Amino acid sequence: MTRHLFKEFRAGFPACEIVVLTDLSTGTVLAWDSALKWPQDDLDALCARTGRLLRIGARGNPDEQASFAMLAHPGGTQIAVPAGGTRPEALCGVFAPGAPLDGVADTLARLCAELVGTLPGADRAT
Amino acid sequence: MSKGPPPSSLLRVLDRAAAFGLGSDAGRPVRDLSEALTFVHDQIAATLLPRLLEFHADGAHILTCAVSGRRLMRFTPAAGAETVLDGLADRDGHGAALEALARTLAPCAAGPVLRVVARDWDDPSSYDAGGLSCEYIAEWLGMVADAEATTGWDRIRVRAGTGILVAARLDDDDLIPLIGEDAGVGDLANLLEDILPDLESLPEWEADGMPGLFVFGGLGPDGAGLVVLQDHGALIVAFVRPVRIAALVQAWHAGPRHQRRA
Repeated sequence: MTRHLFKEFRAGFPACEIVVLTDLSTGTVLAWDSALKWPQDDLDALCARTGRLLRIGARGNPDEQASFAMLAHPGGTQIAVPAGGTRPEALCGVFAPGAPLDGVADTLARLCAELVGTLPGADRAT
Repeated sequence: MSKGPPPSSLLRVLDRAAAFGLGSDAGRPVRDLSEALTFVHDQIAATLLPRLLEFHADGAHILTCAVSGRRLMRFTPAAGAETVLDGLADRDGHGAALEALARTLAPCAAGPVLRVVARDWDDPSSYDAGGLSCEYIAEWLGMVADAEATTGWDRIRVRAGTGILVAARLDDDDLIPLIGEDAGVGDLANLLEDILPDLESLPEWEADGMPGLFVFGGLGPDGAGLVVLQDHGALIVAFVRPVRIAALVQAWHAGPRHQRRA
């Protein structure tokens, strides 16, 4: 289920190099998908940065958390979205430099909600 | 007929095709003819191998461009005759040809979703015309202001336009308003006071200085995003409407290409 949703997302955004679901409370990589095999250290670094980016501006309060955090650098753009509420999960995607990013943050947020089962009626991701 | 998800083998093929510049994108909403022309230019600029780029507006095919080496070799409106472009043989004829190209995008004035489908161009050697470079097309399309905007902030300001609600420059400890009312700049200052220590404590920042451009969705008024970037050693902060954020990030990434051209 999760793998299929990841594949579907990446098919919709071909410039997406990797998409990662992480548990920020433990720093754990829950699931990921990419055309390339990423070393575990790089995955861990990506998840750690996802957590740091999403904490900025939140003042420790999930209600004040940014709806997404984005860091564009010469090597590409990382976009992270929180699962919302008190959920500890977050979804992060890395996109090629200059890639069209219209609708990416919203789509990532919907995918994240679907993956963690927070959408009403959605099955919990397996 | 079942309407399930496409099989993973199909998705793998599509992934592989995208790696070679084939396949289609998800579509991009454009607000007017100018954005449509920019979209077409950006697709030409991103195409190195010989490709036929089919442009669709709200699902209707409007234009096919034959492109190779970031040069537009010829184009054909969905209902119209083919125009071959030869930048070497007929330098004076470019304007009329590109005006014809712009006319084919007239349906885009209504703000459709533009989508491009890239197909293999089987026989590019049958055309010996030189085509027009994407740099020339950019200048003709009026993207000169973009090209002359050599700093990150300049490019973003040009591309985001009225999407920037408030902007200010942090010089030492002074926040100098660039765009917007004083009240908005005050809100910006308050938010900056909260987030700047967090930003500066990022390992990426501590190691090499500011690593790039940050956007935080929804931290500004009415869902606006907070944008933070560095420009000539100073920090620029801005509240930007959500709909302009994607274009803004693309403009930031487009910097080196425009700087080479300048």
